[in-house]
Amino acid sequence: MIDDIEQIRLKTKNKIENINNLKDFEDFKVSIFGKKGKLTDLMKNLSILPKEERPSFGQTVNILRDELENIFFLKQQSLKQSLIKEAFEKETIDVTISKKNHHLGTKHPLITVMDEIKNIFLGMGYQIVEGPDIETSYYNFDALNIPKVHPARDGQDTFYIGTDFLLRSQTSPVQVRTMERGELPIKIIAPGRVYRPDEIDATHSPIFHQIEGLVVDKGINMSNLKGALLSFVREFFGKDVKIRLRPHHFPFTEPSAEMDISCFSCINNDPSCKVCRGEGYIELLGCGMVHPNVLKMSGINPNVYSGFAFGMGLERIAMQKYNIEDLRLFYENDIRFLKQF
Amino acid sequence: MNIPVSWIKEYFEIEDLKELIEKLTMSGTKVETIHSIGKELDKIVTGRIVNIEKHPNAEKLLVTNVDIGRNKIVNIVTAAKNLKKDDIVPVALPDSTIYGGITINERDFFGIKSYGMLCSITELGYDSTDFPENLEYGIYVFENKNLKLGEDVCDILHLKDDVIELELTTNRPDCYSVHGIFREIKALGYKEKNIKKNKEYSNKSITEHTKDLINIKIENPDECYRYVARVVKNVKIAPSPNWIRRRLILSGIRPKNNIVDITNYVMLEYGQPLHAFDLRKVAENNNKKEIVVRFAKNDENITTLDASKHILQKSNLVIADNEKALAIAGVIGGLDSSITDSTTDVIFESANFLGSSIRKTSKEIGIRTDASTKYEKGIDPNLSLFVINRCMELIEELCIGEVVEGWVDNYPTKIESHTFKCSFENVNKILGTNIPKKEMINILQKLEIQAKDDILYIPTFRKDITNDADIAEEIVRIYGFENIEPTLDNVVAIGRKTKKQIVEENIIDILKSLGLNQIMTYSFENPKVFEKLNIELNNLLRDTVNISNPLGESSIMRSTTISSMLNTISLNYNRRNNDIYLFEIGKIYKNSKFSENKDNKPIEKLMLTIGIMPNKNFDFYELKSITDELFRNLSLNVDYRPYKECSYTHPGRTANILIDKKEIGIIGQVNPLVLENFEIKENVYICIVDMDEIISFIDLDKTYIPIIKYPKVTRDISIKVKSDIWAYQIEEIIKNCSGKLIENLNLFDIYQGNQIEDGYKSMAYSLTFRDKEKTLSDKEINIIMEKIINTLKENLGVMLRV
Repeated sequence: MIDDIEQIRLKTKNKIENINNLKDFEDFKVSIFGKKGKLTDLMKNLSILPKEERPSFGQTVNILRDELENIFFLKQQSLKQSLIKEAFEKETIDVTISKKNHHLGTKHPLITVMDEIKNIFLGMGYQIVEGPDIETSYYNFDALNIPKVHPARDGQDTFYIGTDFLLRSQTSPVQVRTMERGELPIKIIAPGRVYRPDEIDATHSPIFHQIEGLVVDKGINMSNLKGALLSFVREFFGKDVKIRLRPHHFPFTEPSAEMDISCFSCINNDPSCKVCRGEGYIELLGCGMVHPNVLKMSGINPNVYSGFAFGMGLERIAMQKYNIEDLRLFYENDIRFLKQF
Repeated sequence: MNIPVSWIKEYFEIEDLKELIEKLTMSGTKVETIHSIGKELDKIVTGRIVNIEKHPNAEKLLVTNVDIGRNKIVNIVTAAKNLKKDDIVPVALPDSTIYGGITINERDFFGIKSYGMLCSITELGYDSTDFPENLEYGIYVFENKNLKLGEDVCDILHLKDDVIELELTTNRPDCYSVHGIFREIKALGYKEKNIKKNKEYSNKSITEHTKDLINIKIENPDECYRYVARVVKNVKIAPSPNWIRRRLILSGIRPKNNIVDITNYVMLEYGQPLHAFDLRKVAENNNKKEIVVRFAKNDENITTLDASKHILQKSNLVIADNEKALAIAGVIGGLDSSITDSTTDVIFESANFLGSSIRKTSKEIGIRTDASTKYEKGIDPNLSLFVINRCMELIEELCIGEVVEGWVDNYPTKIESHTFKCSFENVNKILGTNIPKKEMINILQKLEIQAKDDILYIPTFRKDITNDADIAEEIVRIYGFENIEPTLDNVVAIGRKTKKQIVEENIIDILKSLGLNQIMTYSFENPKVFEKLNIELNNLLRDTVNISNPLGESSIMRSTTISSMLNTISLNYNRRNNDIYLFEIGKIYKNSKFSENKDNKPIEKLMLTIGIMPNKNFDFYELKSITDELFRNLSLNVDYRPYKECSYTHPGRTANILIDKKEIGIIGQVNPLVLENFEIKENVYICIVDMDEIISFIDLDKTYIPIIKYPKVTRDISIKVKSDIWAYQIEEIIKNCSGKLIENLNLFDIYQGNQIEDGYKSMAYSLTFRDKEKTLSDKEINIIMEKIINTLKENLGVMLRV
């Protein structure tokens, strides 16, 4: 009996060496451990042994079982390994080939820049407000303190729709509409499309976008305006960019100023700089303290409240940001242009 | 406005031009650019012709000996024929630079070395307008025979100058003159030079009084505030001296003759336009020349200086005698009374007109002049007399004629300086500063505004100053914006977007991730577009919002976005770009006749437009999978229904998009005949959706739906139906029959062809059921399936395939 055990051990060990596929392995495993397997047969002998030999025999068979199970486990592992290795080799592909199937689309660059600007102001507590493209003279001019006789009202500077309406030439009407609502304080930006009868060229377009800002509350002053603009500029153009306010004139603000930013593209007023042309500063936006007449016309008492306002052109900023020299590219929508953003 | 720097330097000590420019810019008088005139001219000196001989080897050339000073006489070869011995001429020395940056060197002409070149005025960069006394192509010959030799010609002829170009604002008409700018320069702290006049001019040389010669009548004092006239007799019409001509040219005015040039020169100095009439041409009334300022008579004629004839209207102000119009007031003089070479006696006019009236007339007759531009902006009427007297001073100084004593000044209502009470505290409040009152008053004084306690006396040339805010601006522009500390406001507010903005951003993100590129197009449209789009004559799209003053042919506001999209696709197609997947979020415009807008204001509607010109196998269903994905992402349940009425799409491949049975858009393949009009030869797919509708249907507040823990049950059915049955009809029945239990239905196969009889198609659906409260039993599903199959049979004649 013990010899049988030794036989099984040796034969199994020998045979398993030569197995090299899973099927033979499984068959062989069944021939050892299965219901009609050799180990099962051995155990059947137990009942015919004398009582006193049975424990030691049982123990020996169990040791054999453990030993063989371990051998089979190891064999299974090595078989799987070599099989998968073979498969890997067969399935190897040229991973350096590119086959494009997925395309992410793009956001229009003007919208990307607009979003960036919006997000900065949102973070500063501004609400985003919008208004109609088609306006009345009241909102586009009268309520903004623009004199009845003013060149901006000419057909050369404003598109008219019959006698009653016009295409807004600036986003400032949104200021008026917001102030008229009478909910104070006001802290808004108003992005949108504006229209002026300029022939299309590299830097002019009859349709372009502005972003207008307005803050009205008790005690708002020019120092606050400067602080707001400085925060925006540093966030958008970089921490080291400086601002400079130059006195200017707009009918709807007093005092009024234009704001320049120090050139972010060159150092020391480089005359060959395409962004500032060697001037060291770039004109960015118009701003000022809301004219008392404008507040009054919209039903806000200028003796109690004051406000500041600013407005900038989106295309100009986007052109500077991306180094685009021709504004027409934005509205032409050549897919080779769009896909760059 | 342009000012030569040399003019500024005549009145002010300017050591650092850059600093002046910076200060002007930072106080509101922006210097746009500096034009450097004659910058390249170098090493061109005076030389005297000592001898002229023919060139021994070249027939057309001359050899001159030229004394170039410092005891140096050199040979210079020239082709010019206008020279004679002792002429003083400009000599470009070896290594010099003439106009155009051309370098002149020593050069051999047929065996004779030429030590540089003799110059014409053209070679110095000028023409006969600048130097009327000289030939344009001959060598320039100096009139003054006593010039020192070897001196820089640029200095003698004023060939070099910097001209600063200023950008002025409309609220400061007082700055549109040299002395207006000088006032700013003074306020910036620059000291004026002490200019000694050569002699005191009497402003008269004939004692006969102007009042005895002319009479002035102003018929419309509301439009003509003041009219001053003086007379000069025995004038000698000639070109003006070089320095006046140079300043006029550098300031952008063409010189004419001494009389006209002086009126222009004084206008440059003080911003007050002047006009000169030939006295002989003005008719007399009661032995006096009579000047009447009146409205034109209906259809009154005048031929103006530029020889054009105008028919005037009643609203046009004219200067007339008692017979005819002599000039169009403030705009342009008449040809008949203009200064000619034979003029001997001149009436000078210095007048003040209502700006808006001049502007209107100028627009109506289509002439804009320096004078009209200045009047439009507004001029201080208190300048008129001072300026005409300055003009007389120049007449005397330049010995042009004899000035008649006195003047006639018709000034019906004198404009006085206005006052108002200023709160200096308020000025600080506006600026957010703590500028002491004393410092503010000091700044105002520099600007010629006087303060007595809190009462400010505003000079008549500063009509723009009326309140504290205006004073704040005056203070800050001198005090300096750079001296204001930036601080943050403490408005309590929360940054917020509207629902519309949020939805718009979501849609952009979704479409972007589906591979579409966002475009932006113009909102203008050519009215011919409706023909291109095949749109019927009575279609509401043709009732457009029209621009009264369009640029070119795009004269309407678009009522559909389809053509903007097709134009963009066409542009890309014609540039051979591939894979054109586009979308736009933009507005359309409609008249409000049929709408809720009470004031008839046109309606603006935001639209989403998708346009695809694929280059691989793409069909309607792929477009639909994009829109399906979009709406699923937005949590919107949409239905598609066949639609045959759209003129620019394929009637068999177009669907309406519905939410809650409301039409919100259209999806389909573009009609190939329409594509031809856009020069596109490939298939194009579009989808147009009303964004306002989407926004109103969307609920931004999402709630979590619990995940059901019970298993799903899937059943497939394969059916045969008539070809004209739509999938939605089948799906509606399936959904209705299964109630809440249906989780998903998926059409996984559709077939029409050989294997199935004509007029039929086979369809295979996979249905998924799930109950949120229990595991579904086979029995329950069987009942539902039976109901579905029976209803399909009864309602649509559907047969089950095995």
